[in-house]
Amino acid sequence: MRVVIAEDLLLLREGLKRLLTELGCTVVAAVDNPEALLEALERERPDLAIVDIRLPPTYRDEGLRAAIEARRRRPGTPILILSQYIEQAYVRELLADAAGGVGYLLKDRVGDVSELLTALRTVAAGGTVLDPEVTSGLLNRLGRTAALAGLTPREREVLGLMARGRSNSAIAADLVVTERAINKYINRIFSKLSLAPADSDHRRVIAVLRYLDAGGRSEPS
Amino acid sequence: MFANALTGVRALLLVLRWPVLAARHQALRPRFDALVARQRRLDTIALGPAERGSQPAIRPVPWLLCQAVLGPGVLALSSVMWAFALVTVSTPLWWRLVSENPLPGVVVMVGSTNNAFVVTLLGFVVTLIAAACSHGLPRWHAGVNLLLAGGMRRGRLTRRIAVLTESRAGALEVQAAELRRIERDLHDGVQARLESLSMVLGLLDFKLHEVPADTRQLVAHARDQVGEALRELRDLVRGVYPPILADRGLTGGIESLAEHAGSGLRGIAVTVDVADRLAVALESAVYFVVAEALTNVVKHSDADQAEVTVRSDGHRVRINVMDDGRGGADEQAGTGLAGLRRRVAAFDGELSLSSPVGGPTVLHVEMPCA
Repeated sequence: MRVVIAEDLLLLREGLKRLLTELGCTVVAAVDNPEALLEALERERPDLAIVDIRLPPTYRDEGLRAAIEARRRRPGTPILILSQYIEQAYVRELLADAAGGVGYLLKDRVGDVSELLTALRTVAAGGTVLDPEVTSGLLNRLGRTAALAGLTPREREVLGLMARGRSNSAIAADLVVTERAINKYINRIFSKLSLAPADSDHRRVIAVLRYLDAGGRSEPS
Repeated sequence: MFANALTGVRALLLVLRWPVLAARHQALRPRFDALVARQRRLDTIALGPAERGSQPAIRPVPWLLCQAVLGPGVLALSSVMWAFALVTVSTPLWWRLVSENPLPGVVVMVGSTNNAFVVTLLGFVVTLIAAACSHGLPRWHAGVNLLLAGGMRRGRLTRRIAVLTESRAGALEVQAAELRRIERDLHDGVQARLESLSMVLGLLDFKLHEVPADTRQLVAHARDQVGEALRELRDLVRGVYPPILADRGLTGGIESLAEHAGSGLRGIAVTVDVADRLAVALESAVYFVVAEALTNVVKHSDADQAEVTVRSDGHRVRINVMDDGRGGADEQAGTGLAGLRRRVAAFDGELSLSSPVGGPTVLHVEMPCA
């Protein structure tokens, strides 16, 4: 897998480079600012870009803006955003273009190598990966409504995993059940929440997040 | 009065000698202070005991000049009045000695003994006026001294208030900038190092295929600890200076707050209508007021819904946090509201809380923008 890294701190840039190389990726460019990132994406057309949200010049959200710009220029450019913070506003902006191939993880998750590998592969393949923290807040908020909608705890668990962009097989592996059982759960959840079935994992994420974001009211889609 | 005049003369001498003494590096202050103390004693005799409390500091030169003019001036005026009175009253005794021609008296031409006695009668009136001067002028002098000190005190207080207001605003800005710097230092320093450590541990775990399970468990444990430290740091930073506030201003910051607080409530409606970015210190004050208010709502109110409104018209920023909980919030009960009040007071803001038993609870805060 050919990867571009955009991270302003040398320590983390080198650390990531080393980690990814050990995992069998080829780091074709490691840059420290948004312009260089856009240029490297244009030049290298990598399978994936790992981007820190905070980049120069102001160290605010330049990384996120560069990612959105890259995906505007070339829709679906696979980008995994790494940050020390999870903010719903960033999630919404990142998913706004409705094209797949995006991820948003806390930097802490990088320590879990198998998790990181799964995320890299999912995003590179056009899927969506969202940090558990993105969904846990939304799910908590939904607590009372979910009970009203009649979701069982197991179904809520599956809902959370769907919102994080996990595929059916990944959810089955996580919960140690068969994929057929997961399919059944998912169908039941969609009908209980009156959500229209989605044709891809990514559209499913957006549908579920919108549902959670709206505080448990399904929107006509 | 003589004593006043004496003070005045001394004051004049001190003013005149001021440059000479200063050039010789002699202590001027003790001389001046002794003079002030002396004059205060005299003023106290004239006016009765002064109000208690610390005596205001006095600027030396205007005070000394004032004493130099008033002390001798009052004495001179009184002396002239007494002299005039004496001359007028004694007219019958001497008018013949001076001249054969009629003399101008107070209002009567002194041409005969009878006229002279009329002048004497008028002289008694002048004597009364002179007595009134002797009694009144020192009091008036003391009054002027008081006004002088009071005026100086008011001017000084006004200047002091201006300086304090400015320095407080400066201190608040410095504090806000400092917090931001701490946030940045943590992000680039400790947090980055811990993340790097977490990566190394992850890699170590990845490479340790053939070691016993308990060894790998140790690595996993170490990684958990690092993760926990990062989580704690993240919470700490959010309480110091939330990065989202720098990124997205109040709109993003307060929406983020609502999202984090949202787990305890069914819904939070957020309206932020702030045209320009506020000063950094004020912006984070608004953020933390809303944060504290929402924490209170989630913790104590048992509410289902909350509503947060932040509006600014460029002059004042108004915050309204309302919930449909059980009400009866008591400001004395916890430290939260008191802390809020202190935070708001630092910006000359006002806080009001309405929380009848049974709700709704409405917290309203208003702070000036500049």
